[in-house]
Amino acid sequence: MREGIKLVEERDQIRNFSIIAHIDHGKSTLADRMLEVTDTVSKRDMKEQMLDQMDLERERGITIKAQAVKIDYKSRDGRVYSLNLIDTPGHVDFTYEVSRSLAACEGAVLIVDASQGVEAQTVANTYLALENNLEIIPVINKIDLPSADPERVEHEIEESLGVPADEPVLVSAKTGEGIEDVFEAIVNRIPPPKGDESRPLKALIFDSKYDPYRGVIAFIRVFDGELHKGKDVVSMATGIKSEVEEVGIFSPEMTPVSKLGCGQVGYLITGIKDVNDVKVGDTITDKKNRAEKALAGYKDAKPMVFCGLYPLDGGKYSDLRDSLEKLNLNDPSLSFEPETSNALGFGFRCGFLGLLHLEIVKERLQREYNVELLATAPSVAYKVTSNDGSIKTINNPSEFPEPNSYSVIEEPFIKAKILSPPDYVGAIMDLCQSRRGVLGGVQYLSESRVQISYELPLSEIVLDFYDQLKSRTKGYASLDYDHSGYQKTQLVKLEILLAGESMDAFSSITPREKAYERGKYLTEKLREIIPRQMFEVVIQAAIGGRIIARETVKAKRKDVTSKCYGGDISRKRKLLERQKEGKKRMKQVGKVTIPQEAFLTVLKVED
Amino acid sequence: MIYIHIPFCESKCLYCDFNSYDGIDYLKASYADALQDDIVKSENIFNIVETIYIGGGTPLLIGAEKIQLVLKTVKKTFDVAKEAEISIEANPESINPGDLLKLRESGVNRISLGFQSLSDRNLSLLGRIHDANKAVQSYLLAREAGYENINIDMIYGIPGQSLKDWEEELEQVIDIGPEHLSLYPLSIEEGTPLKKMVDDGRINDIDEDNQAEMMEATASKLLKYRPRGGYRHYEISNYAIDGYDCSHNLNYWSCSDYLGFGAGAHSHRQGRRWWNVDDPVDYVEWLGLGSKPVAGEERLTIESRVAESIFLGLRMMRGADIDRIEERFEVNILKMYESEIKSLIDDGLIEIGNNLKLTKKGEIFANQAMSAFV
Repeated sequence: MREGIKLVEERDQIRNFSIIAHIDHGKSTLADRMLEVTDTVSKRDMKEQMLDQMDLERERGITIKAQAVKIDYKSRDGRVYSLNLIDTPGHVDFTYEVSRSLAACEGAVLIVDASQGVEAQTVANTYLALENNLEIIPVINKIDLPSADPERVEHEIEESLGVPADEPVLVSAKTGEGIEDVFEAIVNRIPPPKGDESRPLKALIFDSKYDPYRGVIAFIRVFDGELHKGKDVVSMATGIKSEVEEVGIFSPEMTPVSKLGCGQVGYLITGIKDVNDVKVGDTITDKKNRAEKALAGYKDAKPMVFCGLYPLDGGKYSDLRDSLEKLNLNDPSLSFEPETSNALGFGFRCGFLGLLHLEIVKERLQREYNVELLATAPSVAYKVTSNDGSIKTINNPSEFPEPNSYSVIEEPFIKAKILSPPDYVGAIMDLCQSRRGVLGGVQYLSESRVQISYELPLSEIVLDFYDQLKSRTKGYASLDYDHSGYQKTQLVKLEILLAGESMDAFSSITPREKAYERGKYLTEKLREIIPRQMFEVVIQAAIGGRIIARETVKAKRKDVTSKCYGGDISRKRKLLERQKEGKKRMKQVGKVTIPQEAFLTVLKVED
Repeated sequence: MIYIHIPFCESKCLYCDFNSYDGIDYLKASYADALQDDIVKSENIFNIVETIYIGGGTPLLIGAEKIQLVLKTVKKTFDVAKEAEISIEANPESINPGDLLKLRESGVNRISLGFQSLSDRNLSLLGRIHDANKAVQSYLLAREAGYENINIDMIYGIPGQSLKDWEEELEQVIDIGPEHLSLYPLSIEEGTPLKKMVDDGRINDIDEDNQAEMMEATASKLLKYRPRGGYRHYEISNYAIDGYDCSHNLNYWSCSDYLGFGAGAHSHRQGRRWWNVDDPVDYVEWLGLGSKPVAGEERLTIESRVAESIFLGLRMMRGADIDRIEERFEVNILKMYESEIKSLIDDGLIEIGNNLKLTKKGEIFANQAMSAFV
């Protein structure tokens, strides 16, 4: 155990808080500044945006995994406070993780950009904080910008969030102005943790990560009792028992301590090797002296969006499996199982929390694990009630039931909140309407901000919705959503056939009223993309065996280099090499050669 | 075998992307000197030289006397076979009886005439400076000068040209009766004025289907032509009366060694390939400074040499010589490319007899077959 780590034992000197904000409103910059002014991290070790550790996180300006850090702050009242900052993942896909991180806190710093104002994510995360009974400290950031309008933003906070913003802290995380006021507000306005050291242990797991040497490291917040090395503990949801090998705090690197007491935030190592056994939201208790009730709010996070991931090079299948397994070590919400496709060969059907989660996983696989991928169109989980009354969940067009074998199909819906400047209300409504949306309401938060509510099928969001929203509103609109359960809809399986053979990678589950249009769009697009081959290629769209659209790629008539003499043998050889290389990058299905680009068409919706 | 490049043109044709130039007449004399310098200094890699090919550009633009000097230098430097095939490319407008005789005196025994078309409309579209009449005249002059081995170059599939138009032109050329025919579909190359005209919408792009049809019609028409035993299709774009295949070009397709002299000329010896600087000004300058005019070289691996032997061999209707490749590289291509060959046979693109060769279908999809081996 390291010398010189002074633990604040006095519970009234502990404050546990999160920072919530929309992307780019300055969450990470503020956190960095807080670490810097308190010397928690020396300037030398300070990477730009300390808390976002993955390249991808830095690039996208989002936090994928929660992080925690303990900051010692000497207040104006002369006392030293131990402030535990729990950084939350920053996207709707991770709502559950966010809510568990927030549940570990007593307060939240709500950052709003002084010129951008309130965004959809700000609203969603604030509601989550309020649900968890957190004290909210509004902070208006970027006041150094010429376009800053703190008064307007204050008004928006009150209007949209119902949070009294009479005492917002005005800061510039960039210049450091107002940082101390943020600290003082945390100390004075957020209550110290409650709890009872003498009661049976209750500790909340709000995140976990995998370390190849230590096993699973659980990020925890102690609510009652205390934790020390050697203690026998049990996870209340999973029932898994283990012995505490080490507890510690984040200062900011992991530092072992003799015990974690009531109200403290830190980590726990028990020797468990599988992240799936350490579930976010689960409660750790004493094996011998069990708590009666677990902490509220535990859920088993269920994947909502699915797609097939296939290695571009069929020989890389086992590399893909290894990579998925490795990613899964730190991301138990990712699920995958083998599947085969007639077009794409061997791959995996993967489940994700949402579209961003899908994109992150895909990008990490390509970037960190160096596997080139082809992805099928994302799908959601449909509930099919068959004629005999049994209910089955399907997430893959290949599982779609035969036309007369079922009575009802239901699909998941969401309630979306879209915040935007008023100029784009029309464009947003057009988009939502074209995606089977039902308008919930339009609320003007200020002269420059409107909140539009829609209920939409989740399947409409997973297909190219976010990009469309951004492009139709010049990037100004923001979106957040909640799941709102299943509803009965009219769905069909739209099949695409190439040279008479059904191509599973192009098939989709589609609303009946859109199937014809979609089939026509896909066949036309594929005709443009599929190169002419030595034979004619017929492209068809079909519903329940009936052809609804047909296009033809005419046969190529020649492919020959007419001239090749002594001076251009090398050049002609290189051309042939390029032709071979190009063909290798295409997928061969039966005799038909399909370029990768073709597989992207199913990810787009006709404008 | 020796190639000599003379890159001068009176005016550059609109489709041409060869290493040739107009507007550098001042360079002609020094270029001829540089060429001889290049030849004299060359390493001698041959026991005997069986073929010489003088190409361009328009070689005769430097004057028949200069060409005589260049050939004299070649004969001084190398052992040239008495019956060697010595070809020269000529454009109809560049020919006169005096020059033709001088060339014959120097041993030139094969003339390749760049007709390209017998339609004045097409000739002007291609940017040629002769007309159909001049083309036929030039052929007659060559015959009168005693040349008994004449090739005619033709281009087909020109925008606006119908299949019937092409068949008529082809019939005329056949009636003229050269020993050899090189027939190329027009291809629009990057950086040429013709490409820009297509991009600007001033002329239609090439119709590949139309060209394919012409390609097939060409083969069948020449098959039916019977005088003097008929034209045999012996390479993708080349036809000849028996005994008149171009030996020089057959050597390229058999991966033989060759030396190239002149700007941009390539040489090859035993898997080492090198090439001279393209720009004739640099070529003259480098040689003048006593340097080699070589701009680059590559060394082929055995695999690349085998691949070249196959794809160049497939260009010839007789095919790639399996045994010869095995003798040279100790590789049995039937084993090395077993799966590729099987799938190409399944697709109907190649067949195996004594040699590995293209089928009729393979001739029009040659790149599909060839790319399997690189």
